[in-house]
Amino acid sequence: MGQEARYAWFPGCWVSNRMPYIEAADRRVLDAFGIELVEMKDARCCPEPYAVLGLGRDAWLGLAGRNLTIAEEMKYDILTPCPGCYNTLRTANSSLRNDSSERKRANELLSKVGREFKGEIQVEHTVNVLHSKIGLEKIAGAIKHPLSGLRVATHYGCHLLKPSKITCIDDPERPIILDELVRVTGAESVPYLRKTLCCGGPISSVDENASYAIAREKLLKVKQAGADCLVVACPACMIQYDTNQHSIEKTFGEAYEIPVFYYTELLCLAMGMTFDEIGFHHQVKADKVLEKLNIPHK
Amino acid sequence: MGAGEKLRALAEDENLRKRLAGCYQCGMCTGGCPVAHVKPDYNPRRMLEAIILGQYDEILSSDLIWLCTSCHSCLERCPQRIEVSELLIELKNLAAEAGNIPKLLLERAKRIAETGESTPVSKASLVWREKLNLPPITPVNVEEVRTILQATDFPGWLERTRSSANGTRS
Repeated sequence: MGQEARYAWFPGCWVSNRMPYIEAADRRVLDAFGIELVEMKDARCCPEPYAVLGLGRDAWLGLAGRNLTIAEEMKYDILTPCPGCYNTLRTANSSLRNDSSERKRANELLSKVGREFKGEIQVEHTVNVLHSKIGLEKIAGAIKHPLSGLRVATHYGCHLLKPSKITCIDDPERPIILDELVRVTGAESVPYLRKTLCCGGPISSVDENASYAIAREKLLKVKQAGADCLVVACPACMIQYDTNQHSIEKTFGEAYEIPVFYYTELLCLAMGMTFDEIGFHHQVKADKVLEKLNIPHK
Repeated sequence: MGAGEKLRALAEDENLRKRLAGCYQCGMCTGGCPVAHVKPDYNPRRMLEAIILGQYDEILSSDLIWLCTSCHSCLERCPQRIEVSELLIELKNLAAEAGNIPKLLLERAKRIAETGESTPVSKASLVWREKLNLPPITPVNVEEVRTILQATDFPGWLERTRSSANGTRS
């Protein structure tokens, strides 16, 4: 439902408040393909499943239901760059659509603020919109600076893929859509071990050592595969692999030096946008990647 | 009803019995678990076994329950289609009610309840947003968030658990 080229934009707390470069890259790419993102007034935390769902289902369902009703009023499907938000909002949407007792409970909560869940919209993630709505052919036609010779390791992010009955996006064990999206830029998607391994991010506030040990495993495998960079589709995975990469190196006395890109950042470069335009405010510098691609940078 | 009783009720619940009836302890959930791989004490198969055997207190009092990342590998791979990770979320709910909850997690939940956001706006990102020509961040209607939460047991629960929260394990 909703106009095909318009979506209710739900960046999520982490992207809007901490990682606006992801928002910028998404907006530039989607705008180039004629997709309009409409601001969701008053919407916010999806809510984050680890803190709220783990603490109480009613609170979680009430807040997620509230965000869904805002998009329903706008009559647009939701588009988010964050698999956490994607997963939360799709799970809540599905429960509220299919489980009449949950819907009744949520609507009792929502009635306190004059809202009602009707079940009229869907929730999409950037990667899915690019792959299935815009399509590889159209993206291929927009590539001005093919990323030839770049060896990319893709990391999908658990909450983009699983539970697969909720995400309905790809095979959870052998996903391909992000690899296809990488190949269409002219880059190579390199095979590597433990590709669908979790980033470990969700437990970083509970057990940092275990969280880092999980991320380390992936970083080592990516390095062993000889990839130039890691491409993610999730802000939380970006934090774990980019923001925390130096801390993980320090913890284990190892060096990985793997630049991390959110997928649309890489696509922006392939579509001929400058490195300055994407505002790459990451921890791990991408100089080697840019030199390999012959892209000017400071 | 206390958390222990609630878990007992959950375990005796016919639905849960049905959900767990097929578990033959093959260990596929643990084999594919990213946490178990780096921390062998954490073992989803053993948690299911404990529920089946009625050893609820052991699960609810252990801080291991909070180590599940909800990556849902176990849910996808279980040959008996037991939704292990979803079940673990229900157990986290119960553990939290019993006062077993990591401190930092409680703080994050509190922030969401008070501001509607899981993380505050960083100064750097405001500068970046301007440089990147992004529109201003739309304000959140915190009143609505609070009103909804007030109608659940979330605030009382935050109050109850505040004193008993665990420190961070690292």
